[in-house]
Amino acid sequence: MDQRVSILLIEDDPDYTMLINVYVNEACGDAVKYLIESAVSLQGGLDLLSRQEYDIVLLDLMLPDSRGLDTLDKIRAKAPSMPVVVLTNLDHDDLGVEAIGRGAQDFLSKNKLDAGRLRHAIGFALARDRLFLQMEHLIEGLPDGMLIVDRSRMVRYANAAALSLFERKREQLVGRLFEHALSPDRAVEIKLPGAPGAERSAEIRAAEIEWKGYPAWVATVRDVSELKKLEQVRAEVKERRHTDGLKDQLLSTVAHELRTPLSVVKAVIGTLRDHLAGPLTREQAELVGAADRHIGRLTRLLNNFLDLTRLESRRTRVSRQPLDPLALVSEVCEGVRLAHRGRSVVLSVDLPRSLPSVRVDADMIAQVLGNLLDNALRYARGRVTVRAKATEDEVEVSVVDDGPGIPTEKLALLFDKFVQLDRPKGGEGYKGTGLGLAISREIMTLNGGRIWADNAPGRGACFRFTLPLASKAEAEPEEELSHARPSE
Amino acid sequence: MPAPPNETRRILIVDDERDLVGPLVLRLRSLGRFEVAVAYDGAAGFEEAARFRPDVALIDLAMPKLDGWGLCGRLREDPRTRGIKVVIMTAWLSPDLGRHALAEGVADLLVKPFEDEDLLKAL
Repeated sequence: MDQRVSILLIEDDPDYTMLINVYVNEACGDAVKYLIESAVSLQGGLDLLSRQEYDIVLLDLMLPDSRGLDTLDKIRAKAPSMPVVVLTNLDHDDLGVEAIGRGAQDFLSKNKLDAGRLRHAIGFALARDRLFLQMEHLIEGLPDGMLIVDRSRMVRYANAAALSLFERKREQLVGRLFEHALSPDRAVEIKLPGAPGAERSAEIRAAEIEWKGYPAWVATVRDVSELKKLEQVRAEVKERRHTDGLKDQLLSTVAHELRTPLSVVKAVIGTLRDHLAGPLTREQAELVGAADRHIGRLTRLLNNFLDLTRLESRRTRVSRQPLDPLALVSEVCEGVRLAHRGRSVVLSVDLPRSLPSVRVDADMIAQVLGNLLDNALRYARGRVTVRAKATEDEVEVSVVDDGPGIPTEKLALLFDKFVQLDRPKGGEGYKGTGLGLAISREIMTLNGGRIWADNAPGRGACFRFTLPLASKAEAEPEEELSHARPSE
Repeated sequence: MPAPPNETRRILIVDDERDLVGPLVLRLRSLGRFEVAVAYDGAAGFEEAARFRPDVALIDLAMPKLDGWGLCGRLREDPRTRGIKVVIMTAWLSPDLGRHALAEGVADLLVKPFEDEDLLKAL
C-alpha cells in the first residue's frame, strides 16, 4: 500500500520545523509517504489551507500572530473537518487536553518529541478522524431521520433523512426550535408535510443523551405512512369480518323468526284449503288458494335467499365425489316427471349409452338440474328435452324447451339476482323467486363447472351446464370450505 | 303421499307453538289413521310420552322447561319411552343440527315450514 499523507505544519520555530521534517522523513522505508508543507504564522497557515487540501495539520499554539487555543479555533473555523494535532510547549499538557475538548484529534508535547511519538500521533489522529467520519457517514446515511435536540429544544444536528422527512434545508432545521413533542417513554406520532391527500405520518422516538457535555435528546424519525395504511387495511378487514359475522347471525335469526310464523300460516291455510276445518264456498276456496300459492312463494323466496347467501359467502359444504352423470341426470328427471305428472308437456330424456365419471356434489347438481327443468317445463309449449354429452374435459348437460325463448338482451343478465323475464308464463299463477339461476351459477362455480344460456331460433330457450370429469378435476381436499365453518 | 299403513299409528306432538299444533292435529286426525296426543313443553312431553306410548314423537327444538334435545335424552334414558321413534321439527337451522340429530338417534328432520308430504313421509 502506497499511502500518502500530506501535512501542513504551522510552526514559527525553525528548529522544530527542521526536527519534525527529519523525524517524519526517517520513515522513508515505510509504506506511508509523508509530504510536509510549512507555514510560520497562523495567517500563513490559513492562506495555505484556503489554497490546498491537507490530510492533517500540525499546529503550534504559540505563533507570532496568535497564541493559545484561539489559534486552534481559527484553524477549525477555516477547515472544520480537518484533523489537527496540537504541539504544546514544555509541560502544557493541560492545554493539550483542553485542545482535544475543542476538537483537536491529539496533542504532542514539543519537549518530548521524537520520531516514534510524532508518527504515532499523526497515525492516531488520522485513524481517529476516519472513525469520526465513518460514524458521521453512518448517522448521516441512516434511512431513519436522526436529530440531536438540546434542552432548550434547539436542533443541534439533523441527518439527511431528517431533512428529507421534514422537507427542510439544513439551515431551516438546525439551529431552530424543534416543534414536536419528545418523550422518552413513548413514540410520538406526527403528521409530515405532504400534498393534500398524500399526507404522511412519522413516529418520533427520543432518548436522553449527553451531547458535547450537556444533556440533550437524540431523536429518530421514521416514516410510518405505509405501516399506517397497512394498519388501516387490517382494521378494515377485521371490521368486515365482524360485519360478516353479524350479518350471518342476523340472517340466521331472521330465518328462524320468519320460518316459525310462516310454518303456522302454511299449516293453517293448508287446513282450510283441504277443507279440514269444514267446507268452503267457491269464493272462499279461491281466496284460500291464492293465500296458499303466495305462502309457497314466500317459503321458496326465504329458502332461496338463504341458499344464495350461504353460497355467496362460501359457507356451503361442498362434497365433490366421482359419480356417474347418467344416473344423476336420470334420477333428477324421474323426480321432476313425477312432480309434474298430469301436465301436458313432455319431458324427453335423450342420453348416450355411457358417460365418463364426473366429480361434483350430487345434491348441488341435482338442485341445478331440477331448477332448470322446473323453469323449462313452465315455459315449454309441448316438450322439454334433456341431453348430455362428453367433451374432452367435461360432461355437458343441456335443457331445451320449445317455449318463447329468451330476449337476446336479457341473456347476459339471466344469472343475476332477482332477474325475471316477462316471458308468457307456463305455470298457472306460479311466480319464481328470481334467485334460482343465481343459485345455479354459484353452485356451478363451486363445482368447477359453468352454466350459460342461449336461444335456438324458433326452438325456445337452451340452458347448458358442464361438469368436470373425475379424471381431470383437480384433486381437492374433501369438504372444501373457505371459511372452515360447516353450513347448516 | 305414501300408501296408508293398515294399523293406526300413535303420534305425539310436542311444540310450544299452539297455533301450529292445532292445524297439525287437524291434518293428522283427518287422515283417519293417526291417533294424536299433544304437549306444549318438553317436560309435559315426557310425561305424555310415558303415558300415551306413541309410535312417533314429533318434537320441536326450542321449547320452555325442557328443550327438544333434552326431551330426546329423557326419552332414550327411560325404558318405557326408549323405543319411540323421534322426528325433530325446527325452524332453527344451526350448523351442527345434522350431527346433533344423528348423535341423538333422530329418525327424521323437518325444517319449518314443511310440506304435508314431508310430514307424512316422516311419520
